[in-house]
Amino acid sequence: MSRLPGCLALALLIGVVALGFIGLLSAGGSGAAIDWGYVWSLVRISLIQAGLSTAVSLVLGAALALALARRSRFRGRMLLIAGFNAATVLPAIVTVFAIVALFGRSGWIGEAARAVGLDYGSWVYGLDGVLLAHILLNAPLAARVFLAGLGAVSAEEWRLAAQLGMPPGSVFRFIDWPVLRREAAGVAALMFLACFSSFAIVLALGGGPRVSTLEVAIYEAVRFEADFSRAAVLALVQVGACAAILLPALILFGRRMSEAPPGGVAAMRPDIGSQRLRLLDGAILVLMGFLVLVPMATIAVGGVASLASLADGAVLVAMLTSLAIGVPAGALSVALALGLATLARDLRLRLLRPGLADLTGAAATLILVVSPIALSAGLFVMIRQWVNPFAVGIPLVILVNGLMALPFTYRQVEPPLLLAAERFGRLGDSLGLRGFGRLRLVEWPLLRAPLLVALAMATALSLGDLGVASFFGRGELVTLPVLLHERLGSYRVAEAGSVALLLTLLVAGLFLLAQRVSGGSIARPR
Amino acid sequence: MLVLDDVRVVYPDFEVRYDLTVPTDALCALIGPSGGGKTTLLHTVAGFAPVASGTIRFDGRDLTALAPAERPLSILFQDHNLFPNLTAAQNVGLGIDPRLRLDGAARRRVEDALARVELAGLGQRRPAELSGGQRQRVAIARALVRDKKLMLLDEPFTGLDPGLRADMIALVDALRRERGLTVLMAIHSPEDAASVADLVAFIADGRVDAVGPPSEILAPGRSPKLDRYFRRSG
Amino acid sequence: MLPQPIAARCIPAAFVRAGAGSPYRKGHAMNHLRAGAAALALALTPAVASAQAPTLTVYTYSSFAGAYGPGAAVKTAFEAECGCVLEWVTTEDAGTLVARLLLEGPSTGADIVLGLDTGLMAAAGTSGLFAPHGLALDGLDLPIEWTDATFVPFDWGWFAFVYDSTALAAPPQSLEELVRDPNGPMVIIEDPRTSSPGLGLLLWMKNVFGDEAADAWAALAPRIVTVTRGWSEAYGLFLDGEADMVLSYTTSPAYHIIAEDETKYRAAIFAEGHEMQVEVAGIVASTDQPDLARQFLAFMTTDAFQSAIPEGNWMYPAADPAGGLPAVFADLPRPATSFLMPPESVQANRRTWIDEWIAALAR
Repeated sequence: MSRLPGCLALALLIGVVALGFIGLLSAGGSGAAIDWGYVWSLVRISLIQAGLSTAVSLVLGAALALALARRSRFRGRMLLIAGFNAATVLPAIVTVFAIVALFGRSGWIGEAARAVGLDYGSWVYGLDGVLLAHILLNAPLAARVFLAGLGAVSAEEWRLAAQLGMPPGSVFRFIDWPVLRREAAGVAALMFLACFSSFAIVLALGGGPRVSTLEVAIYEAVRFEADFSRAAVLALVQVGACAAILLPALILFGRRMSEAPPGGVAAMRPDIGSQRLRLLDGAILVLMGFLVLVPMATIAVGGVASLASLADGAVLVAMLTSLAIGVPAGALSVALALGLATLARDLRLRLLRPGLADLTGAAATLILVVSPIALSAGLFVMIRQWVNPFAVGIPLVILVNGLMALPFTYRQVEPPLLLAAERFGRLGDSLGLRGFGRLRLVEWPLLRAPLLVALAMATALSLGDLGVASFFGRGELVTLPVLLHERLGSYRVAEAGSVALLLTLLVAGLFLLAQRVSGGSIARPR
Repeated sequence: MLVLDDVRVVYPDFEVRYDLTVPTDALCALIGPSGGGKTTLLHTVAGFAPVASGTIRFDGRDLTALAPAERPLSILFQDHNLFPNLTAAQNVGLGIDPRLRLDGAARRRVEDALARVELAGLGQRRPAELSGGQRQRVAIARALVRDKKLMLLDEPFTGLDPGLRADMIALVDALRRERGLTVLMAIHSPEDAASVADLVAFIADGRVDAVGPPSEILAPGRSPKLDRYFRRSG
Repeated sequence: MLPQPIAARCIPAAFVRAGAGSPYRKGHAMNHLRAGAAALALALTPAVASAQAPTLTVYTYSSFAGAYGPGAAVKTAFEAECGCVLEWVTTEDAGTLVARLLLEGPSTGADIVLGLDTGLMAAAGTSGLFAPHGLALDGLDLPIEWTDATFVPFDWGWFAFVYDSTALAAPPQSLEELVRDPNGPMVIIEDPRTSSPGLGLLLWMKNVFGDEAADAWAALAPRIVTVTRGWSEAYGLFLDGEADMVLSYTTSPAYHIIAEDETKYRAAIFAEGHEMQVEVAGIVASTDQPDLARQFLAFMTTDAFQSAIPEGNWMYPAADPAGGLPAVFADLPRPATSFLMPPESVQANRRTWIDEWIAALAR
């Protein structure tokens, strides 16, 4: 297939980021020396925090994926999955309030404990609170990736396992574990970077400057110090630190080529009959429901209280504005991911340069740690040399949001593309299928479901964006998050809660729609 | 003796019904058009298909209600017979213990089985490092260590070139004589079976349309469907 | 409040701006819809400059010009007397405002920047971007003398710890007591690196404790529940019952009394005095509407503007309206002493003080 779209996507990605950094560096600064001890302490705590968050999310995500794979048929499974999916893209501020509403001093558990005479105070603030919030965001993300991987195990493998009489332990060891291990590196990288650059959550739940993040220093440099070159250096340190971890990890644990299996039938798993596993899966679903869905339920309860405040034209307009930005941004992100993943696949399979392919994937992932405020500021400086940024505000917001969602869309799109090549690549070549026709005939059947999920996710991420839009707009773009912050910022906490509820429902609805349209749950691609 | 006595399998979108008797130690080749029900028949015997009525018996034992693992048989698929992340020896070892806890004696059995299928010394390779024929030999070796009296093969040699295909079929034939196996083998090209099969069953439209010695079945005039099949394939 | 009902005509830019700003305050849903549609239309097409009347472009933070802020009332009132169009251009918050202004440099389209405070004046004021206002400013009602030649204050407030009087019967009487009492209330504060109130508390502690500030922070540290990115998170967490007190403003209780008829929230008045936040506006040096800009700053201290402040921004107006403050505001308890750290001092010491703060809390 043509490499042109992929090269263009890569050029756009690198170009925009480079432009942002050049702009920021050229905007100047105070020239004050950077306190590297302070920077290093931020990097260190971020490493610890992100490492822990990633490890726990991986384990819980794997458990959740296995439970959902084994229990492939129960009432409400689709809704449950949509709920888990929605959790992965909640805006940070909503996540914070959801966690606090359940685990906080006056949260549901705290109140229940007090009712029986226990007061456990504010334990949720500190590293554990940050972990809880990051698990809420990331464990379902990992679960989704793992579930898709498990869904691609061949039917023969399951039949063979049944034939050989594999006990549950062996099924895990010989079938599930290899899939988990194969998928872990990519999703772990994604989660690590997301946690590393996490900002509002870390501050709100971190309990104090002991648990902090480099993004704080970047934010501070842009806002309070107007020291843009300092912000640029700090943002580069963030990218550099993450690249230094990500690249060796990709080389060590990166995707190994597997014998490409056709999609399997989850119902064929021989271990679904095990009574002990049934209990375990029940326990896992309850635990994850408790950690992820119950906090989200608190949003619903909080929002219902002032549902009337949604009956306001401004809310409808904000919703439409959000969608008018989110849907194109989502589509752009998916298109860029397709281009990049096709390029990476070509590099890997045809040009036999797996290193370059991994690098392309890393580029698509690393944008996650490019500080949004730094990038926005830098781009703003550059763009205004040529055009009035306000005149191109909307396309810019869509562009930046689309790029920011790229790590997630890429992660969704890359595996099925590779699978399609392994399975039908030679056939497609021999038939001379190329370009769009090939995409439609060869890749589309495998891509449909992940692509739709990617679109839902990218759109949802863009719906939740606040900072980027505010930098390029004149303020006329009152999106749902802007409305949320406006209400919160003017004491209207309950009314803000109803906007948070609306945002959550909207996101869950997007995922539900994607799942429906793609024909059933994501776990069973066939 | 393997007996399928009016076995009915019902799927949401199609239904099959089988009557078939294969004597002990016989090699029965299953032929017929694609989609006619060869694979479903094998899956039915192996326990992967939802049997609605009828019984499956082997050597007097009723298999109908047994779980796949409890049935005294081994099955080879066309593809994906091996777990890609395990070595050839480990894949064979799974036939002895699905937990792969193998003592010295078990490991020797694995080596012997690999040697018997002419893969001595290749035990440490992974499936990706083996050729298509070698992969199927590993699967046969696993069937050997499982030591079940019934062996099902679902076109496992279809992808191989004709010479290799003949070798593999000869290997299966030799093994079943050595060990007294009853073999049910779906094949793509009926002529492959002519020399080794005791019986040929023609499966079409979800029914066993005709059964008999190869000479009878491969000769024209036995059944209209059969004639059409050969005209089309020949 | 709409200047003209113009639904049927094709939408001129001037209306779009008016529509986007004004009807939010008490309009019905149709107005919102129309305004929103207009805003979308503006968003999707490049803005067309209004041909007839001159336009005064004012940069401010979004909540000032947003649905709940005083922006719409201010716009209507000013346009009624200036024969011009007032255009709000907003950013997420005041911090982003400064960043954007500085990034735009001398060629900025802004005529006025409205919404800076002490912490941000430090970054913006020295940049040479602002022109002297040249106004007399003798009608101000600030607890302190205002002599700045560049910035004109439009509202102000005291930082304070707000508490729920039904839950906390005996709030501390002084900052000293809050800091030193090991069994004192649990508090939520904002991060001085990312928010104005957070920086305000840092300056307040410095003003009260001087060189002992680090020790004071260390003493308070065990009772800091958490440190949030901005005021919204902190106040939201407090209302959710996560702490006994939250760093906010002495005027915060006024919102609960006026909007919710809820009197249980109080601001603790501390004996040492309170740090102030003064919000200011300034004329951008490169403006092409210097007279109009000056007219706006003068207008800013008049009743028409100032009367929108108390219940729009929930702060004290910089000049009390002729009819006096709303009763609820007038009745709020006031500290006896006010502090305001000079911007130059903030500029010079902010980094050191923040490092000190981090070190103290990490002890």
